[in-house]
Amino acid sequence: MRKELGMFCALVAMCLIIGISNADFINAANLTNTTRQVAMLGIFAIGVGFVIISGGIDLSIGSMIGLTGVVIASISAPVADGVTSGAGYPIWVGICVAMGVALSIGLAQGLLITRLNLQPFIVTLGGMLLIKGISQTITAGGNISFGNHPFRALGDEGLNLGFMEIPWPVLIFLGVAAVATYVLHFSVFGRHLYAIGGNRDAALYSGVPVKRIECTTYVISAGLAGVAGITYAAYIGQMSHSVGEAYELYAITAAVLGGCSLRGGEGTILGIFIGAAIIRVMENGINMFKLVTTNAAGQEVIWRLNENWKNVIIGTVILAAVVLDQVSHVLKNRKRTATAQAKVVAAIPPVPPATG
Amino acid sequence: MTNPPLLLEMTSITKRFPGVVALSEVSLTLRKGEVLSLVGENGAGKSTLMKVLGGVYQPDEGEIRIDGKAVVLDGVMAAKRHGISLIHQELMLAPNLDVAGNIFLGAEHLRAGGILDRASMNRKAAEMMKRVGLDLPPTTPLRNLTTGQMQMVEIAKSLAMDARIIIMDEPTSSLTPVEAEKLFAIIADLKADGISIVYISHRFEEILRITDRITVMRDGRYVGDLITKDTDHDKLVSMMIGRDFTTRFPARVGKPSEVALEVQDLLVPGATEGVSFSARTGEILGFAGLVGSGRTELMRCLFGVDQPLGGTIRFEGQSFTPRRPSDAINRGVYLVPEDRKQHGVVLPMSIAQNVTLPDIHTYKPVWWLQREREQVVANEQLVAQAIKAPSVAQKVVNLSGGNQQKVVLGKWLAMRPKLLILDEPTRGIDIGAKAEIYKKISALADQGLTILMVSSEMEEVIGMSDRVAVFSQRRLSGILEKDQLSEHNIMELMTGLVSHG
Repeated sequence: MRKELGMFCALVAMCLIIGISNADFINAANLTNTTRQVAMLGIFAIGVGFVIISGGIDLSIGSMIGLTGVVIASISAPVADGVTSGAGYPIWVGICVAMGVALSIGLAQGLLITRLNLQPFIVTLGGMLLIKGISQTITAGGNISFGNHPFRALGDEGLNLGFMEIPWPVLIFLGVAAVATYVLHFSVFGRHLYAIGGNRDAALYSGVPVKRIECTTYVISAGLAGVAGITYAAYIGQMSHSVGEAYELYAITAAVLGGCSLRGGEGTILGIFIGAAIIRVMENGINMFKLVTTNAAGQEVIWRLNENWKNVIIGTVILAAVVLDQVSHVLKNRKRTATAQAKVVAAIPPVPPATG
Repeated sequence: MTNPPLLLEMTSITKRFPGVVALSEVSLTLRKGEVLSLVGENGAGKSTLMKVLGGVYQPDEGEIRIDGKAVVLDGVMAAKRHGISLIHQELMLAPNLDVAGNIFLGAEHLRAGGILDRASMNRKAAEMMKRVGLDLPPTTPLRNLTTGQMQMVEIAKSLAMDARIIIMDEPTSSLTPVEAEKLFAIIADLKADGISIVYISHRFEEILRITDRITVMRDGRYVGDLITKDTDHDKLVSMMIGRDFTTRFPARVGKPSEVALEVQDLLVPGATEGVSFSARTGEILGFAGLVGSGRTELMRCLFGVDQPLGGTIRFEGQSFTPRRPSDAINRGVYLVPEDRKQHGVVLPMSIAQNVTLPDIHTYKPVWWLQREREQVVANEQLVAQAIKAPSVAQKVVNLSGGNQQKVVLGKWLAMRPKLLILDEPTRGIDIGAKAEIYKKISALADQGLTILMVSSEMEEVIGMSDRVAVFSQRRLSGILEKDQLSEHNIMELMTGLVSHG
């Protein structure tokens, strides 16, 4: 939990700095929008978190988000003129088919990885390109628009509590997070998952069904990418194959910032949520942050971060986080070696060493 | 015969590791063109001494002289500059490079501008390969070679760097008899060229045949030298094992009863023939042999990690064919693996989580894992196995090797084993923890468990076992009854000199 606490403090500090520099950060519209973004990222970051904790990696989820939206649009978006259009079926048909497709692709990737012993990186890299290609084929390289289909309310609106509105994606995220917390931290599956990530061989030697569980993580990852894809489809309203591009990297970043180790065996749902929040707040903060100074002539000068620095800043933060983590890891190890040696030496009876 | 001059003198070498004195005032000499054998049991310090000579370890005390001049071998490169080449038991070659690339790895010939001079390397490699009898193009990918040919590449690599001393650690352990013969012929050639060889082996037959002199080590100390032509097998064995037992083994009260496990012609992958044996309830059946003699592979088959290629297993009167470890676990057959860190414990998890890992599903009646019950069970094992840790919430990574081993033991003992397979149960564990583990194993046998114990420590396997199955070169070379158990008898079966039905 130490890692989570550290990242949480960083998140709070970031919010304070942005909030102080620009009061607009905490206005209702911006807060609603940012939490919606955090939630939508959080949904599929939790999915890839399962894979990462078991020691694998899933690069296909960004494309999967795109494909889910494209499938829903091609089935349920209103019939329109043009090269591509929806087929006008009820929305639940589109959603069910899209989820079926996502889960099947996840299962296929999981089976390839576990039954043929292929590397997850390569299989899901291939999957990423293939899935995106399917989206591109369905949309014929263009867009399918939902128009003003009522489905779009899922992305734009929320549960009205009178004094505030909770966006639907946030509610979906909370549901996903609750179930994921149960599965990961309170169920047998979660215990097995940590054991596999911590030491795959020892888990196997303890009778853990290693392959079945690893395979399941890819299904979970694809499934949650599908759920996230539904919310993105509603939110964006216009589907093309480029929706979801590079999202897998945001999800992996969120998981790692939140304390997951790519070596496996480490990570919590709370941490992944904090990681997702950091990324989205940082993005929002880059737009929001401003310094107001007065120049010699007494005029106000507003200094803002250059939008083009976004990736530089995010990249730097990721590198700084892993460097910090590694440094603390090395220091901890050094301390342990020192104390372990001291113990062994102390345990030797004081006899001449020559008796060995 | 006049003695050639001394090439190497190692005098009073002492090397300490945390908590262990690995070498205590060991001396060794080597003459030009001499083949010297270094013998001793596992843990006698042979490898440590050779790593000191190869520059891998620096001695805490003692002196090394080459050609009468004191030298400091502070690193592998320094040793190489003095013409010392160490060939490890597991060959250190790059399978993705070709033969010439391997021979000149780290000493590549370069042309102007830092470009690899392949022509020059291939020419020189061909020359070296001819000396070791390798009739192949230097551009052959290494992975296409047999183990025997790879061994020759290692020797060619030593020759390419003008080695004067070549250390060979168990070179024949993975060679066929024909390949071994070829190696002996090359050793004779090298000797004629004035190159000195230190030959480490457990096979007395080879040692007596190809060496000039034998240096015997025991428990990290120098025991003595033997001139090979004045020595025989029995003299060598008595010098190697002549010592008192230092560990007390607990007395047994139970008597083995009916047969629990019957293994019939079980063909283990990689083995040369089927294995047949049986074990009784309440019996400790020891498995002796050299590292790599096929014992671990057999145990992996019994636990369902690997699948046998043939034969049958019966356990408690019923057929037993574990296809995965969970099948074995469901029948009460548990394995404490040889490599604790690799296969035994999940280091980042707590003691409690490790102990309950195999049967964690029984801790979930409806929805939630019963953490309290988990704590209780783990605490019972913490006490029963005398695990030294502040609490069961302690992560296993923070425990010593002995305590980690007790966690693995506790994990299985919490689940009422019927057959317990112990693979090198005390490897890398200090004396105190060893005694506790011995006591525990004896008590378990007395309670009616069947125990299979693989051990490469002679004292341990004799002191603990009711009977001992001895493996040699991937086959069961004999089973010794309690009254036949002696280091001498085991050693004979191990080195393949005799074969008991």
